[in-house]
Amino acid sequence: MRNMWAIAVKELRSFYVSPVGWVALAFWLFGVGLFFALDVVQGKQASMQSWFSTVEVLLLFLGPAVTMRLLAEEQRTGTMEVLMTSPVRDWEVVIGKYLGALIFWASMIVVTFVYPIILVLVSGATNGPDFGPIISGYLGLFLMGAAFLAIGVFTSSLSGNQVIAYIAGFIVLLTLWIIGFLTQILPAGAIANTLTALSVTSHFDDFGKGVIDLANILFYLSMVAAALFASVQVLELRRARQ
Amino acid sequence: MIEVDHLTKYYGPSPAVQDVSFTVDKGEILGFLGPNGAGKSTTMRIITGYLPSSEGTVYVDGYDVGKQSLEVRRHVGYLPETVPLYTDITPVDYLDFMGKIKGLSNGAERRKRIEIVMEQVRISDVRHKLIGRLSKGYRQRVGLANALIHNPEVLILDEPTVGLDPRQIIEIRELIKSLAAEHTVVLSTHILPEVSATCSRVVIINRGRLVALDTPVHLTEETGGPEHITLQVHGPQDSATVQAALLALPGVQTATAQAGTGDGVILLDVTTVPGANLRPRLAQTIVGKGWDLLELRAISLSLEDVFLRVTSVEDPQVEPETADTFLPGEDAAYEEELAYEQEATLDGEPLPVAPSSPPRKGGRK
Repeated sequence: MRNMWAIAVKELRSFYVSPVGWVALAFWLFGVGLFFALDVVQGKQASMQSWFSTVEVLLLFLGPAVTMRLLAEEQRTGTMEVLMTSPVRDWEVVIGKYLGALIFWASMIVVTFVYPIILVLVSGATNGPDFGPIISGYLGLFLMGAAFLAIGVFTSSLSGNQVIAYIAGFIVLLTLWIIGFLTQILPAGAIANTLTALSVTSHFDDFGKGVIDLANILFYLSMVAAALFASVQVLELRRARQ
Repeated sequence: MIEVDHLTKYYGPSPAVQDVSFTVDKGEILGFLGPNGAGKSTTMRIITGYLPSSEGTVYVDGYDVGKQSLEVRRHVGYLPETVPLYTDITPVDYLDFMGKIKGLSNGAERRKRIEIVMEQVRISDVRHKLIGRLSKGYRQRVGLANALIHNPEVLILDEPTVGLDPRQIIEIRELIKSLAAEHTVVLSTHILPEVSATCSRVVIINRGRLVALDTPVHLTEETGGPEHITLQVHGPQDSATVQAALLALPGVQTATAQAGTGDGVILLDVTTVPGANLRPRLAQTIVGKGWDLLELRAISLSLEDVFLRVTSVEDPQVEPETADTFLPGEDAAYEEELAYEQEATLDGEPLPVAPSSPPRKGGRK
């Protein structure tokens, strides 16, 4: 536990001293700001529902960028060998690094809290925004990001090359994304239902509407668990095969 | 402290380490010697718990590396060959992080320990520079500091002096020697003087197999074979007279004349039966004949000769890729010499440790 935390703190620091961390943050702020401006001007509604559904696209690009370095870099430079010959368990390394990325992600979300505040200021107290869907929307956004980052950690474990880690992560997320669109095209039935169950977007939509469904929370959490578990396995396999 | 028992490691179908057994006692510095690709790093990685072994067991301080890996890692400090470090943080922050994950949870104690170690490896002056900006020598020492930070009983150092300049090499060697008082050290190298300079015992490994295990002194004596003596004599007209006089002595096997320096000085290489110690007799004989003895020098077989012998005995056909990277020496002339020897091996001839070889290694220490 202590090891995990030490690794998380170190990773979090790295985000704030590395150019990648700042570029990701800048890209994120530009994107969310743009979408917020467009949504408010176009929609003229004190609601963030459409903002949440557009912002999730940014995550597709950002998630793998945040995580690509985590395990790939250490495998490339060989620092993984130093880490793994220290008295830490493999899962402590993986979860520690994931936690670092997750906290970074949380900080990215926190910055956007200015938008609901702006909504309140602009629309006044009486016909201000409904905070229910905003809070649930943020919860959904955080959970979806958490799942994306876990997948990014997994693809980062596969290779010593950050670019490959990024592309692999992007492809996996894109696939999960496209599944969501397929469900809208396909006729209702078993296939469509299965795909809906697997889609990362369909589980997100409810959050934006103000619905917190335990099934949706569990969907993202199990995705996190599966991806991190797989990462630990990959690390062990890669080491044994060296 | 370390027990390696019938260790074997396969990479795919080919064995990188085969049936290697040795023990390292507390407070010892064991030199791990072998050409590149001999299996040194693999063995060390297994001892540190980084790689699993295919067969055999390794115990460190009584803990089974395969089954109690975490315990072993608490007792081992490891410096990998490439000295991998995070480049975006300073030595202090790096050691703080590594100290934390190596169990130094008390902040005040950890900071104290960091100061001690930084002083020990002498990196205090660069404490606030980014590691990525440090020179190779400093990085090496930061890596060493990391190996030392949790004050482990055992230190595994994979080629700790590679890429350093001569002064740094001496400093690191001195440091390693000073560490032996409190730590058990295993260091690998392919630089032979390093072993003579630092190690109390040597393991020579070649193509994954252990080929010799002894003290440097014993190794040079026991596998030494005939003693070599070189002479410079002034007096007689031709070398044949001297040769005849020396060959008459019991115990002298050969007496070969070398090209003289002119002005009447005769150079001779004499080999004697092992352990004969004929130097006094040779001197007496020459002086007794009324000649001038200008030089008489015993050429001890260096560890290099031993190394070349034991690593070529099993398989004289050294593979070209091994030969290319064989024993990078510390100076160019030395490397040329080795290149010459490698050619000889490639031609399938025995290595020139026989009497016919010119005296070459004696003065090099």
